Amino acid sequence: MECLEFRRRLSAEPGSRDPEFLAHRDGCHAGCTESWWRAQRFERQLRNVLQSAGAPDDLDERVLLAQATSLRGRVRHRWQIGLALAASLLVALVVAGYAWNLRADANGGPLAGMAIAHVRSEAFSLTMTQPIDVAQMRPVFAKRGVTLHEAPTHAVFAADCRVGPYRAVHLVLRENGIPITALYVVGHRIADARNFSRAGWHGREVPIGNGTLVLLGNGSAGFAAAERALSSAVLGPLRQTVAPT
Amino acid sequence: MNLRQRQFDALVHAHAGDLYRFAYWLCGDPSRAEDLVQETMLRAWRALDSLQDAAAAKPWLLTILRREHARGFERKTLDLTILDDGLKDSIPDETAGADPEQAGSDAELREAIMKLEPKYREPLLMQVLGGFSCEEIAAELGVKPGAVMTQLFRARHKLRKSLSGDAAGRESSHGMS
Repeated sequence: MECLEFRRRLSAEPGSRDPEFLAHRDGCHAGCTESWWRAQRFERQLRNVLQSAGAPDDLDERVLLAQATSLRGRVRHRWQIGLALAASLLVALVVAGYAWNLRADANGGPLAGMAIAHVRSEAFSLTMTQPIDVAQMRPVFAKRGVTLHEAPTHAVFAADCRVGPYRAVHLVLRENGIPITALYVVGHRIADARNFSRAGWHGREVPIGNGTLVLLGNGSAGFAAAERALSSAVLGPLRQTVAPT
Repeated sequence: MNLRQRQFDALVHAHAGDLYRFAYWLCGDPSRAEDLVQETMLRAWRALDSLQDAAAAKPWLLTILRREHARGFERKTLDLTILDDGLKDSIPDETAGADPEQAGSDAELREAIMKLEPKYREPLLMQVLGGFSCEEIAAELGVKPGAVMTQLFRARHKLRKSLSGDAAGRESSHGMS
């Protein structure tokens, strides 16, 4: 190594342990050894000055505090996101449930669907026009375990049927020429009465006794009279339900 | 306390001081230096799993700190006028009460360090405070080792030149200036 190269290296890497560099330091008689010592003194001063910028005494604690705070903040943030998501989900479920109920109310419950399907399968009943008497109706009710207290007027059809999985008394009442189907489903009582419109049918479901009366027609005209008549038939004339709206 | 937290605590206790000094000389502002240490340590906490070798901890932290500083530098370009004027007052005078001649020389050197352009100051800090080799500095800065040698040579030359009556400053001006 030449002196020029040594001194360039000395200024760039005064702490170099390169054997060639150190050999030149020890063997040169042109002042490189003295330069090396001066460089080391300067380096010591430089390091001392750089090291003199002392960190604040409580820096470690402040760093750890910031880390712990950040950590808690992130955990809290995750909690907040979780809570917000849960709240959103809850709101969505409530809204969906409410919408479902509205839709169910408008369409009627599952019973309404089964009643419509049954009437469609026995559409001939709607063409009946000849009134039937109590003697024809009583055995139909009896077959379904229901005592007929008072025979509905204007009945033109009576049969014991199955509506979906339920046993039912199937009546058709015809007043002013308009047929109204009355299905008294035995043993399945809904909680509340409700009107519905579905697949072109107007309907009403009413809990009566231990069953449910489902009325179906092209319109709701005559439903009130039909409901009263079936109430009287199932419960007797003194225990009628409240007239429908 | 879990293992990860213990590792982090040890890292803070072992290196926060070094990081602060590096940050201080890098930005010249005690408050900013402390912020840099905080930001560096928070980033280190998040990336702690990537630190596999304890011996690599210091260079790893210094690298994070340098990047944090560079990000801050991009956000807010350092006002060199403020650096020159305001920095002198914030430099701690550790040599107060020491040999007056030495104290004067140290003060000159501190001032000269702060006046160094960042391209000279940063590799010098990496070498002296960070313990990086020329090759490592080159890799960090994305330049060739020869360029780092030149920067280090010029940094020292400027510092020595600034010290009054320094013959070595004149002497070392051979070759690379």
